[in-house]
Amino acid sequence: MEIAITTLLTLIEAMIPELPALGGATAIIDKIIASLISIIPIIANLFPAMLTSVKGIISALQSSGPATADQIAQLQALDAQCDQAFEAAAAAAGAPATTAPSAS
Amino acid sequence: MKLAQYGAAIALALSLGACSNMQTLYGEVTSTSISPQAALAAANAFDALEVTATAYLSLPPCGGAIVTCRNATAVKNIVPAVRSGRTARNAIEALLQSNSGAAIPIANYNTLEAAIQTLQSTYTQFGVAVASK
Repeated sequence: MEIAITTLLTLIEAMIPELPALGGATAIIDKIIASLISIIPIIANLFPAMLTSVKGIISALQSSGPATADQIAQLQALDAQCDQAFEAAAAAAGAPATTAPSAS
Repeated sequence: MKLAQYGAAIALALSLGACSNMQTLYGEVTSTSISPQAALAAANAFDALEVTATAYLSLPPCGGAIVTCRNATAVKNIVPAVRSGRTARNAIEALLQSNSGAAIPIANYNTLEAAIQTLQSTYTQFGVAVASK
């Protein structure tokens, strides 16, 4: 599973610079966001080191031209999931709880 | 003696040159604000450190025969640093979005930098490898 997720993230990373030149970039971003929604919980639980790639993808999509306001809002929510993954790990490690992180 | 003085002068000149390059790269830094580029660079650096923290906290606790493990002292340093850094990073990112191109208040940047330094020194102390893209 780790290899499959790594491959998917690598493909997405390679695709992002080409988005402005592609027709239907908005639809492609929708599909990327849907993929991220599916895999972030798995990555957070099983392969937290891969969150770096996820955060890079989120950041690149936010600053890419074709992303709509709605999509940027979705990406910010996904970014917040990375913060929540830290809080979950902190709680599991016995750190005192704090208020839930908000979307950036 | 003279050689040592020349050496000191060269070292000073090199360090001043480095400062000049830093200002070119990051733009003007004042006592109250910092360029958006520098703030964004710090935010991105923090993101990598936060991901590393998440992975580190997911390790089993140290003890017994476990080699790759999380140290309780490291956890005590990491958790508050990530939380304070996250608050500062979120504030910086909100400012970057709302005033595009405007300078960022130095207070937010300093808080983020303090968190970054705490995390970096903790990782160095406990031999934690920082996640990279």
